[in-house]
This record gives sequence, structure tokens and C-alpha cells, in this order.
Amino acid sequence: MDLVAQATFQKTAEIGFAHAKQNLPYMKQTVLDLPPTSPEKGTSAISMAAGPSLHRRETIQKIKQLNYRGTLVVADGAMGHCLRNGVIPDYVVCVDPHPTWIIRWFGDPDLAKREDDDYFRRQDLDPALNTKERERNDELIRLVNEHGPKIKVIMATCVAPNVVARCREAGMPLYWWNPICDDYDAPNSHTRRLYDLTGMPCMVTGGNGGASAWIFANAILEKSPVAFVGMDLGYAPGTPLSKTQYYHELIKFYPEDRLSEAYIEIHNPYLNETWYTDPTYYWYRQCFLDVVKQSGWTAYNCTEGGTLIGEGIEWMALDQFIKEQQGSCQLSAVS
Amino acid sequence: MAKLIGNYTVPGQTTENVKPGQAGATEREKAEGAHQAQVSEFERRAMGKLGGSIAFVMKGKNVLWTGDKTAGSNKGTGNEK
Repeated sequence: MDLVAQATFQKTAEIGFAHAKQNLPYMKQTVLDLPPTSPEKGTSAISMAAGPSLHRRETIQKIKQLNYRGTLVVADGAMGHCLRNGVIPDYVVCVDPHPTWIIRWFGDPDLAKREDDDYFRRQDLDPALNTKERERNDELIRLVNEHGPKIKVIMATCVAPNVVARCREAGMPLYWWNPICDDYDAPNSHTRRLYDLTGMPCMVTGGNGGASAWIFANAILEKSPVAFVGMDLGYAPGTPLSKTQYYHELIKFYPEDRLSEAYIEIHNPYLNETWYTDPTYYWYRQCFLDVVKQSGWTAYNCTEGGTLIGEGIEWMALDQFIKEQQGSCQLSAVS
Repeated sequence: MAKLIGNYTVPGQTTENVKPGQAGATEREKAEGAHQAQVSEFERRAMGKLGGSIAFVMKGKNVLWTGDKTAGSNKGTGNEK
């Protein structure tokens, strides 16, 4: 797992710093400048990632049907699924510095100019992306342009400038933060370098946007309890290996008949199902377990699928969480 | 995760009788050094492809850091040092 951690740092640190330099002119507000959520929102929050359970368990439909009135914080990859289903999140968290993939979550105006890339088609995250990519992209551009001004972007300084430009174009308010990428007390700390450059507050990431969303809801919004959904960090039983996120990379290192050795099976006792995960998702899982353990916050896993089971994580059905938390929301919020 | 392996000769496999410091050994050691560098580079590039979205570290219970000056916010888990 140390190799994945080191690889992640090497892959993201320098490009992230270069992006931060380019993003400097737009860093007007930090996450510490966010206005408090309205009392009508109550004390709870749901953070959302874009894992396969999001559509397998019809998570967004449940949130909508049960009229959840608390705060909704989504990773960028989950925003499109929300908007297509008529749910407008309060916040979208953006942290991955990839130069061309991330803008896709906001609708990419330059999609036609990009090299063909099956990154989105290959994923089981949102079946809507598996077909009619151009039409879906155009639809997302329209949806983000329409609803963007109502969604606050929790923007990491390292994110690609094209994403920042797209958000600004759509009128989305930006609130900035630096990802804590290494020990800020160490000599030549990258995190300290980012801080010295930008002056933005620094926050632990958890390794991906979904984890960052959950951390943000706890640390900045000070919500409690905070549930998470769509955070499988693994693949459902029966998912073909070719549909996994790092398949194209793993197949370079393993012969086809031994490819399954690269994956790790995890039994989910709540579902009595055996899911599987790849090295990167397994690293995400370990990161999240570390955050939960070290922070002391309880994480309510309402994903209803996946591999995230461990100390400090309470498994709970989403409808139960929502029903229990609606009481903290003021009735005036009912629309 | 499994160690990445290449189709190379295992060190000592063909020249195991040559002692370190001998001419043959020096050549072999150089070749091994170059090979190890190649393997390291291969691993670095391989893992670069498998890396996650963003780096992650956490010091104790600290979730937020706002520089060495006194933080303007008491947010976090309340145990910042």
C-alpha cells in the first residue's frame, strides 16, 4: 500500500502545484469563509461518492422520495447523477488534479477535441455514461449551467485550471482549500509549499473526492452525524474485471489468466456478499479507515454495498438514517 | 500487492561462481545495477498509473492545518497541537 501512496504523491504533487499557481487569481474565498448552513438543514449531512451502489440501490431516488432536508455534499463524480435525477446538492467537492478527466464531471465543452478515452465508458459508476457520451455531455453542460449557481464548489487548489474555468463559466461559487499531501512539519514539505503559495487552509483528503466530501462535512460544516453513500471502494459480485477502473493498467502487468490475482476479495457480512477491490481502491479503503479511526468521528455507511467495513463505521440503511435525522431539520424547510 | 517481475536472469543464476571484485563480477554487478535501475523505473511508472486521486496523510487527529500562526478557526477535531 505504501507503493500506491508514493505513486499517488508522485503523480499528483508537481502537477497540482503547477495548477495551483495558475489558479491563484481566482482564490478569493476559502472553505473557512463559507456561510453556515441554514437551521432548516438540521445537523446531519450525507456525503456522496459515485460508486456502483449509487444506481444499484437507487440511492438518489431514495433521497428524493424521502425528501431528505439535511445537507448534501457530493464528490464531483456524483454531481451529474444527482442533477440528472432532479437532486441539487449543496456542495460539490473537487480534489483530483487530473488535467483532462475531471472537467467531464461538469460537462466538458471541449469533449469533441479530446483523444478517445474509455475511462468513463469502462466504469460501472454511472451507466448513463456508457452510451451516447456526447449527448450525455451536452445534457450535463446544460444542467450544470442551469443549477451551478446554487451549488458551492469546494475546490482544491491543485485542480486543473480547465475545471476552474468551467465552474466559473457556470457561475458556481468557489471555496478553496489545499490538500494535505505530506507532513507539513517536514523539511521541503509539499503541503507547506502549497500553503505558502496560496494561503488557503489545508485539509486532509482521504485520498479521493468521496472521502474528502465526508471529511469536509465533518471538519468544515461541523455536521453530525454524517452518512456516506455511493462509496463502495470495490466492485459488486459478478462485475467483469474489464469494467474495473484500473483494468487497462493491471492487464499490462498480469497475464490474462492470472489477472484476478491483482484483485482482493472482501466479504461483506451485512450483505453476505463477497465484493472485490483493486489495489488503488483498497488503498482508498485503508485511507478512509485511517481517517475514521484517527478522527474519532463515526461514519455511517449507508452505501448498502461495497467494502467499507471497520472500526468506527456503522452500517445503516439509508432510509433509516434519513428518517432518524429528519427531526433535526425544521419543518419550514418542507417544500 | 504482488511484486512486479520481469523476464530477466535472476542474480547469481549464471555466474554464481564469480566472486565479488573479480572482473566477471564487476561486469555482472554493473549489469545488475543497471537492471535494478530499470526495474525501479518500471515499478515507478507502473505505480504511477495505479496511483489514486490525491495524496493522503494525517497527523494524529489533525484534519485541518492553517499554517504555523494561530488558526482562526477551532474547526477540526479539537486536538490540533
